[in-house]
Amino acid sequence: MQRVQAGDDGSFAMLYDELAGVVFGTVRRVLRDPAMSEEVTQEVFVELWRTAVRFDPERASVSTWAITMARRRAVDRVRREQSQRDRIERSATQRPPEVDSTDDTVVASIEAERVARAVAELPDEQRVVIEMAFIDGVSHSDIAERLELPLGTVKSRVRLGLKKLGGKLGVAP
Amino acid sequence: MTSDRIAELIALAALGELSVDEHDELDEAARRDQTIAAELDEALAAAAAIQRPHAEEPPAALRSAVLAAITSTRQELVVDGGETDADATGGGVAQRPAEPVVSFEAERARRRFRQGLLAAAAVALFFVGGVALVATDDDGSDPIAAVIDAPDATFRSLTGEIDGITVIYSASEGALVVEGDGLAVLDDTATYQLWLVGDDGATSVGTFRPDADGVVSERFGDADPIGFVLGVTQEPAGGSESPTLPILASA
Repeated sequence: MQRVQAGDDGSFAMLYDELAGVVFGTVRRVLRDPAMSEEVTQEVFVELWRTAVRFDPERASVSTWAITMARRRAVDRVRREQSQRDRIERSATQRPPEVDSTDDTVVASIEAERVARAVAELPDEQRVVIEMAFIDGVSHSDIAERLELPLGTVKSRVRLGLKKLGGKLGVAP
Repeated sequence: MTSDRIAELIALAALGELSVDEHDELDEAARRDQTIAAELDEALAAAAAIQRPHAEEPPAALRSAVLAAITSTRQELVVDGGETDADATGGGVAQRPAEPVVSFEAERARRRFRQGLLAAAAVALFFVGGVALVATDDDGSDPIAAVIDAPDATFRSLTGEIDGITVIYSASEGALVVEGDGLAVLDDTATYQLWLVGDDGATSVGTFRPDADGVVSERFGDADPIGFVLGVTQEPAGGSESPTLPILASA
């Protein structure tokens, strides 16, 4: 990462190879649309390159940094697309996103099993919200609507769920 | 700031749903209190841990597009005091959302199209000219393939009442291509029209008509769709100055 921060594009290519799957997977779960997901994935990597100097290894791993950025970029795209579509076609009925099975994209790894176990051990009310948010890629407002919960309750359950997961997984920033 | 508010902001950060103001609020709190910074970092790490096993390999072509894109992207530099030249706030993962990398491109596109849309007649001439440019490209290259095969080409599939339209854009070619198959064949009184939809409304890219088999492959120069929603409408022959609802397909 230090070489990327110094402008080494060869090292950036290696970084791409390491992170492309997690970035694209994160974006895809939020956006669903493959073509749009490619576009946003490209934006994420350009931003990673452009802002590499901001990365602080004491606060996060490179993949945590990239996944966080990917999620934010994907959410931004959803909001922008929705806002612009609403502006020109307020009464239009949008095609619902295709339901994407994530099961076949799960890497059957020890780490994946460990995470899955930790999520499964959460109290149901937190587990459901965490799975919807981070595995199904649903926004917190949509979760609130689907589960008929106040927005604050959803955010609270996300926070508590992540806190417990952090403890169970022993995640280091 | 209350602990409930901190917890709310940390949850939104993990969800990628902080507004800029909320980000600044959380960033300031994390700067003042290392406990909050540690809680934030732990929450982001936990959220990443959940998402990391669900990796999905992108198409191989994306790699070359990304590597081509960074060659024209300047990196931020560290300046005195540890700040970046983009006035970055904070480090690690809790950062002000960076300006979209497309913002300058989008603004250029808006200016370009505002100039091109001074009058309806100018619009019509603009697109006729664009098509004519393609038709007279006799240097032996295929202008449509040049866009599709460009290393920085990006693909967007439009969905809606009609499917089967893909828009391919290449910044290096400065052009986009509309590819379609299985489209309804229109009579001579109607045409499809492609629009860029942004904050200022809809701007026409041009008109296109499928052949007798419902196939279309059309290149439009001087059109940059980055940062815009793409929409297709059916319009009277020759096109319209503004889109006629419904939007048949969009992305």
